[in-house]
Formats: sequence, structure tokens, C-alpha cells
Amino acid sequence: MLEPLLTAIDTLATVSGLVSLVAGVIIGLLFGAAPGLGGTTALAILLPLSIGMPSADAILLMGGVLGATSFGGSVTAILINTPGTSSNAATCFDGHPLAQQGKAGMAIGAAAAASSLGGIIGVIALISILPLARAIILAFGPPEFFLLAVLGLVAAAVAAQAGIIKGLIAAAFGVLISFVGYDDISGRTRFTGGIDHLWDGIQLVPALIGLFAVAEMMRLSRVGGAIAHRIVELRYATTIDGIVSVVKHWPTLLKGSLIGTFIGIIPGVGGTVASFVSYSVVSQTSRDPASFGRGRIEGVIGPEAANNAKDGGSLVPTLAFGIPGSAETALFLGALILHGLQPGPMLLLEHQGVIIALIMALTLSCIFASLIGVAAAPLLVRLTQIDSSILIPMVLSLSFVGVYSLQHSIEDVLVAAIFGVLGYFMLLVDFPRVSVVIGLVLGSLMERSFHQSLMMSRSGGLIFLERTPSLILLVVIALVLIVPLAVRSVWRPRQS
Amino acid sequence: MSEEAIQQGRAELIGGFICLGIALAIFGFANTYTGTAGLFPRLVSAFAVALCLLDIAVSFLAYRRAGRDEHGLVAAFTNARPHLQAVSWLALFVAAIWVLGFHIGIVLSAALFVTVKGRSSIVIGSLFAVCLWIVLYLVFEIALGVRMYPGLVIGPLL
Repeated sequence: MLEPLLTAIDTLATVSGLVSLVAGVIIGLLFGAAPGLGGTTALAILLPLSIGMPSADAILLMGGVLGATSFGGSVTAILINTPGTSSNAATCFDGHPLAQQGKAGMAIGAAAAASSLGGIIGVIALISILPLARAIILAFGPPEFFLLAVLGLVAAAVAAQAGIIKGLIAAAFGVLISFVGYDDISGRTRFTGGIDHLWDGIQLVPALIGLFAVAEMMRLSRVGGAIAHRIVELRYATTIDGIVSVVKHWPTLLKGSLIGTFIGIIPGVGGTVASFVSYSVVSQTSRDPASFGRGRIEGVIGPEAANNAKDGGSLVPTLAFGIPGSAETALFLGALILHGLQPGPMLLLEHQGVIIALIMALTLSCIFASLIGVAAAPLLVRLTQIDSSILIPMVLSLSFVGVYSLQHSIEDVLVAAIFGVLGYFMLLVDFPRVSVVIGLVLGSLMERSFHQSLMMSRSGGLIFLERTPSLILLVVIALVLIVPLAVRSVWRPRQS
Repeated sequence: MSEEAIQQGRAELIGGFICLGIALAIFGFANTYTGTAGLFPRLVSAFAVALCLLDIAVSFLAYRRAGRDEHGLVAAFTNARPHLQAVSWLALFVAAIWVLGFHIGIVLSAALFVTVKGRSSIVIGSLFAVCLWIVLYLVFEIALGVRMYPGLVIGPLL
């Protein structure tokens, strides 16, 4: 344990390492504060840019972005009632009323402290769970990895706001896209349509940039105009009160952080669900639930803590099994692959130094984000006044040049554009893009472990029912599918 | 139910049919591969076809329940103009880059976008485009050493 720790400290305690981390934090804050951009776009644009960097610095840069975007979004949620990302929407409920009462500084201070502490609690949970995940991995064989991939896809589909069927369709299409190119098992090329460029398959980075950055810009071009025009005055004097209030309301902080971590572990669920569930639990367990929505500081602390704690949780399936927990971690997974680190069992067993460096980077980025974010809050709010006609060519140009720089291939630009149209179409018809990404990432693992399972089996497909870990996973998959349906069928009649 | 919800229902129904078409096409392709090469793609695409049929059925029931099916599915295309515009701008961007390269393609398409879509003056649009090009040139060509794509027209001349 000591050697990986020293390696991690060695990685972080360099000038380039710290510069990368701070740069990641600043970029994360800027993109988090600008509604319509968010962490996914920031990571998508940075992916190709990071290719020329040393692996450790690139991972610190990405870690900085990952830890900072959620706080950037909360500043605009509090000051102008416009959440930077959808996961900051719950912060608007009480954050903006506080700002209207002249307590914007207090709300931002509370959000900063809750984000930092929530992020740190999430990281502590990650450190506690990873050794357990390591033990589980050693007991797994091909049938379990196949079922684990199925579980990842099903969990993401169930969590999709558009519904389970749409989530499963999107995941199935993601898996089908992963079949394009040369097949290692049969030694044949599939679904290439005679295009040589597709022999290597659909590359993850152009697909991710298309689905997220390009599709978001297409959506923004349809909406048009500046995002916000009205700005609330910010007084820093009350910021300290906000930080003190987090300490005073520590049970709320703990509740939010644990909810965020738990929801983060479930693949595909993401920060929006985490922050809304946290807000709901915090308000419902309060002595005065009716006062929420009128400027209660706990209404800021709960969602913000959950929002940052989910990053630590979502890294558990990403690092341990190679199953991305959210769109951001899917991009983060792309960055790891781009730098020669294959997430999954071997990463956890062989590159502990990298994982500890990443954990430390996440912790530091939460703290830096809060410090820099509080100081730069007025500037972050100005970002929402940029006109979309300026923003769109900037992001599109950066995305396309970045995609090209990966392999010096103009065909990759075309792939990103095609995935951009696909992502835009999915936004229109309400299909979850995260499920496609998870399917694309897990497709090859699924097919490989499926064939390996059949090869090692004497009873064909029954191998998935013969082993205890497989049976447990099958039960979990069934529960993941059935429980939400049962809850909804009980909940809806009650609501009506 | 609001007009917006009905339009969304219509879009989802059309989306379901498009997905079904794609899934059927993939299933057809998958059947041309024999042995292990085709087994898993066949399984996944068959699963996707079944799910698309289920999704169409669910969307259709929801759409009928809205009680406004006199608009017809074809009406969805009358509202497609802003979406076609978004796709057209992207196509213009990519085509300009493909034919003229990053250097000229980005400057031209960015200037055009800011002038036409942003309704700014040609001077502001051009200034913005040139500034954008300078930033990209400094970041990619100078700092990262990436030689940007010269384009179909200029490439052969270099």
C-alpha cells in the first residue's frame, strides 16, 4: 500500500501535476457554470487535447474537471436561478430564494463547503469500497463479467428518465455500434460497409464528442440567444455564515453525501437523480418540510453534497469493472483508455498508484473548486450572458480540431458529426445518450465474455445458471428490473 | 394535454419507427455473417427489434390517449424546420472543413454563423472568426504540434 501511495504523491507533487489539476478545476468551473455546456462537453473537448500530455497530468486535468463542474453549476443556480447542469436544478429551489433575500453569499458559501465535504465523503466511500471490489473481481470468470455488463446496461436503462424500454433500446444500439470493425474472435470484419476507416471500429472519443458536445451545440443553435440576462448582486460578507451553517447542519451534509455516493455507484443514474433524491429526503425528514422552497439553507447543503459525493461513487464501477457510472465517467474512461490504462479488473490490481493519484486529485479538486469558485462567482455568472451564436462555432471548432488531432484522420471528424446528429435525434425523441455510450463501451467485453462462457461450458447457455456468483448477479439484474416497476405501480395509484 | 406534449408524443412515435427500421436492417446484415461472427449481433439486434416494437406500441397508446391524432404523423414534419436548420449548419461546418481545410473552413463557417444566425455585422463576424482561428492555431499547431487538415482543395497544392 505504501509504494502506490508514494507513487501517487510523487505524481501529484510536481509543478505540471498541480498546474494540470488547477487548470482542470478552472475549466470545470467555467463549463459547469455555462448552462448547455457542462462537464461532459468539457471532458469531451479536453480528451483529444490531453493526448500530447503525460498520462499522469492528463488524468489530473480530467480529475480536476470531474470534481469542479458541479460547483460551477450551483453558482448560476443560486444567483440567476439557471442551473449550469441539470444536476444543479435542485439547488435552485432554496438557493435562489436565499439570493433574493440578499443571502447569495451565504448560499454560495454553503454550496462551496457542502460540495467540498460531500466530495471528500464520496472519495472516502470510494477508498472503502474499492478493496471489496478487488476481492469480488478475483472471484469472477467470463460468465460473471458478461452478466456484470448486462447489469450495467440494465441499471443505466432503468435509471433513464425516458423509461426502461427506451433505455434498453439505446443500450442495445450502443452494443450494436461496438460490433463495427474487425472481430478478434472470428477474424472477420463486420458492419464496415466496405469503408476501410471502419476496420478499427467506431473510436470512442469521436463518438463521445459527437453525442455530447456536437449534439448539445445543435440543440443550442435551435434554442438560440443568451442563456440569462438578469444578475443578482453578490455580497461576500455572508459567505462565512454559509460555511458555518454546513458544520451546524452536519446531519444534512452526511445524509446528502451518503445518498450521492450510493446513487453514484449505480451505473447511468447520475447527479440529477442524486441531488433530487437528496433534496426530497432532506426536506421530508425536516421538522418543517413546508418551509423548503422559500430559502432554507439545508435545501442547498443536501443536493450539493449529494452532487459531489456521486463522483466518488460513480468511479467505483468505472475503475473496478470498466462500467461507466455516468456520462462524465464514460468520458473519463475514454481518457484512461487513450492513455493506455484499461479500466477494469487489471487496472485495480496493477495500477494502484494511478488510482490513488486519481482519488487524491478528486479530493483536491473539490477543495480547489470551492475556493476558486467562491472567488470567481461574479465572473462565472457573466458566462451565462454569452450569446449562443458565439459559443457554438467555438465549441464545434474545438471539438472537430480535437477529434482530428487524435489520429490525423478527417474521417473521425465525419464520425463525430454523424454521432452529433444521432445525439441530437436522441435528444428530440427522448432516448438516453448515456445508455448508448455504456453499450458502446461494454459491447466488446460482453461479446468476448459471452463466447468465452460458451466455450468453457459443457451445457451451453446453462453456464449462467450453474455458478453461484452468476446466480447472484442474475437475481440482482431481475431485482433492478422489477423493483422500480413495482414501486411505480404502487406509487402511481397513491399519487392519483 | 398540451400541444407541446402531443408534438413530443408524435416525435417519439416517429423515432420508434426509425429505430425499428435501423434494428431490422442490422438484423438483416447480422444474418449474412456465419458462425461466431454473427451469433451475438443476431441476438442483440433481435432483442432491439422486439424492444422497438414494444416502444412503438407504448408510444402509440400514449399518443392515442392524448386524443389529438387528427394532426397525423405527417404533421410532425411541418415542425421540422428548426431541426433541419440545426443539421444544415453542422453539415455546412463539416463540408467547409472537408473541402477547404481547418484554416479556411473554420474561419468561413464561423464568420457565416455569427453573421447569419447571430445577426451580427460582417465585421464582427469576421473578427470573431479570425480570433477563433488564431486561438486554435496557437493551441493545436504551435503548442501541441498538430498539423491541421489542409482540405481537399488546398491539400494537393501543398
